Amino acid sequence: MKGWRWLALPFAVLLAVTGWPIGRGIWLSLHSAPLTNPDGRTFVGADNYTDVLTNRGWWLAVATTLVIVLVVVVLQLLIGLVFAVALRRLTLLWPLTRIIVLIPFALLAVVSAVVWRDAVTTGFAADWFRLDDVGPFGQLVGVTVGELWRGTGITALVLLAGLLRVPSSLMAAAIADGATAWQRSRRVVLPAMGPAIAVAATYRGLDTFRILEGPLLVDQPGAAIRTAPLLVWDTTFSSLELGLGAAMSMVLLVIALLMAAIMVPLFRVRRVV
Amino acid sequence: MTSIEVRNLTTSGTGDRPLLDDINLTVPSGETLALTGPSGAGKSLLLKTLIGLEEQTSGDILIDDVVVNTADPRRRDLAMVFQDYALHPHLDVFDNLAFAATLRRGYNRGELSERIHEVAELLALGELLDLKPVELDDAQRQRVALGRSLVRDARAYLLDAPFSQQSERVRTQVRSVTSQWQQENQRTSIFTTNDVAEALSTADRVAVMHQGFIHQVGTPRDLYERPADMFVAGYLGSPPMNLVPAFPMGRQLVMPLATMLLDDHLLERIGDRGVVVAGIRPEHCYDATGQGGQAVTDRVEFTTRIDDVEWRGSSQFAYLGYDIAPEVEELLNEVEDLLEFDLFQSFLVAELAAESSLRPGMSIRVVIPRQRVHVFDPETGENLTLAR
Amino acid sequence: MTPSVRSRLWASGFAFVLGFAVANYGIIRVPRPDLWIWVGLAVVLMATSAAGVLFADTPRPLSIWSIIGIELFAVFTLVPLLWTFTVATAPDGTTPRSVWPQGVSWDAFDGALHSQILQDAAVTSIVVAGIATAVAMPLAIAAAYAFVRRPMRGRRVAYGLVVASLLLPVLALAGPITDQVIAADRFGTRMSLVPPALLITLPLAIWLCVTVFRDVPWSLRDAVRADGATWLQAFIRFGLPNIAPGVALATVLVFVAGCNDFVLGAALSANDESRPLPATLMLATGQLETSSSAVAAAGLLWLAPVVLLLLVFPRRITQLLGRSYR
Repeated sequence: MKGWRWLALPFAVLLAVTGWPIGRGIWLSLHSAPLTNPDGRTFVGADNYTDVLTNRGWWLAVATTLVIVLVVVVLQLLIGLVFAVALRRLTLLWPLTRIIVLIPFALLAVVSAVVWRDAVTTGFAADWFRLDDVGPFGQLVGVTVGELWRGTGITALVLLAGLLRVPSSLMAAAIADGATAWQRSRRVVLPAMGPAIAVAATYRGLDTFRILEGPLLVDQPGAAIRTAPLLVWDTTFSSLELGLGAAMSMVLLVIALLMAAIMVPLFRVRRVV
Repeated sequence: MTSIEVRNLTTSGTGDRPLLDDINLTVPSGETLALTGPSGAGKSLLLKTLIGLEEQTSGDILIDDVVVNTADPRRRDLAMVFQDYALHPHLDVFDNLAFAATLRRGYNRGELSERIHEVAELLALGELLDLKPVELDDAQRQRVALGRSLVRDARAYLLDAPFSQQSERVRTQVRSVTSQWQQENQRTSIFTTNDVAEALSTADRVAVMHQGFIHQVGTPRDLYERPADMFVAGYLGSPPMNLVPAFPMGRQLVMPLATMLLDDHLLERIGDRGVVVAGIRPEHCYDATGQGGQAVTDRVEFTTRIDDVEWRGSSQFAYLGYDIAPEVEELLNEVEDLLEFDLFQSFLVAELAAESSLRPGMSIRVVIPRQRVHVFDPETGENLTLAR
Repeated sequence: MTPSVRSRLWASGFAFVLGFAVANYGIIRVPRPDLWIWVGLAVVLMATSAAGVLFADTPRPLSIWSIIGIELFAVFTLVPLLWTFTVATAPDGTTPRSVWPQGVSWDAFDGALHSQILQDAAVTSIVVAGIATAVAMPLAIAAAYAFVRRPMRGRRVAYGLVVASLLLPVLALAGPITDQVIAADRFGTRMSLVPPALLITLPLAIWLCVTVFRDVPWSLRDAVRADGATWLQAFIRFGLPNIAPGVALATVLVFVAGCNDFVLGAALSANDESRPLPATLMLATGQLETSSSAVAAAGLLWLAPVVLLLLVFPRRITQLLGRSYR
């Protein structure tokens, strides 16, 4: 129990900076609260939640977000795995490559969203693939590809670390046992890098889930397809309906929690402390 | 010139059994004590508690008759070799050897360097002084760890499995260098080892430890010839002592292969026990036709079939199988479970002279000097042969 | 391990088909100057294919599949970066259409460096992230020490909470935080950004420090203490060489992450004075006609210190980020 002496202060601060806003969010979500007028608050009970949960637009946005998450994570894992396998063999240019892998991730998400939007509207992608006027949906796809591009390098890096954890003696033993390449990758490599894949999937998934910059950038008034974080932002900071926004936020938190609750046991994410 | 004493040292763990169980030890000045026992016995924990890295739940540690329970490692001033070597990865071998010595004021640079070279030479590290630990193999790393403590001038030395990684040939050399150095400098030391032969041959006294408990402390000869209990008897020796169930019947003790006449002393000690355990060392079994066998006068003898033979050059092992009743076997299994150690076999090992040609299936007549047979209580493990 | 002849020939065939397709598409549909990028990629792929056939039966440990993968990786990563550069250097009034820059003008970089708004924003970002990092690191070090070295009941749950707050959609807390800051009458000040920034820095700091601490050879500390080191000696001779570099790097990464946060900064910024850089850039996209160029330029300038960092500590950074999953 001695450890708690060390943990007490960090945890007090952590709970203060996360728990307090969450608590205030729950409290706000039970009120009708315009952001501009703090005095005009009235208690409305669960009305905000009823509004959110019965709103077709909200559920459409949630579905859109989840589809984006699914597509981005699956593609990132696949591309990242291919790159990781390829980069493992790299010896000569490795120091340089190590830097290149991380640069997209270090680029501000706003910047990546801007250049990718430009790429599909007026830039190279439009030029190469003869896209004219991709519309709001096309722009959303564009910024999503940007997000995909931004996160692939770091995914590859995590997967590469997992790949390097496969002991070479284990591979040698498998070859000596007469395992085919397919059997080796399925029964030796995959289990050994399981934790890496699990963590990459979970972290990238929840990271993509909360992304706001791209959708916010390409959002147009009256757009049909919007993402859930965008709706939260819009309700809170454009419509200034704090109570409704807080209710959406709480639902968003619950969805994120559900995602984690599904992914962690599914991938058996184990992080031995 | 330092003595170490431990009184009623206990460390409770998370489970039922304490990690260290009421340990009492005295290591007089200048003596070398070997702590031996199966892995998980608590040997490393005992050393770490002695040096002050772990805290005991109760009991006292005395260095030079001064209680040091609350003193930090620096004030205890002991040197320790760690099982995992604990070498600084960013320092080369020379700096690793110098490390501990430079932590205290008033060392002389020239003298230190001279001493490091001397120790490095003794431990065959002379060529390696400029290398980093990653470039060494395990045996070399271990010698650096050992050297590091020898370079330092501490009150006493605690060595946790200091020779375990050395190859058979080098080990003798390293061992003798270490013990010679200790004798010359009159240093007290405690070392742990899994290797029974090493404990018996290197130390002035040996402590046999198992399950956090010290079963017996004594000179190697004492331990070997007069084991206090069944665990010590079964643990020391290679191959270990044969432990067979035996049944007292009147003045006779009936063992699976042979029957022995009990003297008054043993008869009294056994009392009304229905079953005991008899212990016979393999090297005390003689071929009745051979020279050693004929010389035995007060003897237990039996004829049986050889199941298997292992010829070893200097001697040979004959395996003589026997059967035990299921209920007795159950009792023996219970004892083993309690001790978490394999003591009993369903065969007797006899270490015989190498010249006679033995084959499996042959019949053999074995004699055992009666005084060499130990009798143990199966439940407490107490050696009944010893005078109380 | 040498790949088999069959695997190399398959790889060669794949590279050839891919190169052929790239060449055809490029020649037929892609206008100059990007045509040359396509053709160049096609040539490289075909050369790989040829090399694969030539080396198919040699014992060299050369994997053609890996080479193809590395080539595709280079294209995938570098083309968008080049595009960012092209956007940033597009001359005033032009809209770049090709990845290859057709006219290079440094006006946007010049503008970004001399823009008062961007300078203020950068200062805000650095000050806020700096303070938040400075507060988070000591706490994180204590927490990581407890997690790694002090076994205790409930530490799995505690660690789960850290990971949960690391992955939490910060956006969901932006509204309540803004409301709180307004209620406390601190809206629009730089310092009001600091406590919310802890939401980003603290969990990340704990997470990275736990990774750093887990790789520390702790038995060495026992050994140093057994050798009789004083507290100060143990710190200088064990702590500095074994712990400090990792912690320093974690600090820098936490700082960078704090600087790059968009959501909280955007939610809490009432005026140019208190608006961090990412939020400022987002705002700029809605204002100017040539904004993309300015945003890309500012983004690349902002990237420069990070790249410098990657150049200085490449190995440590990849290890820290790659291993942190354990």
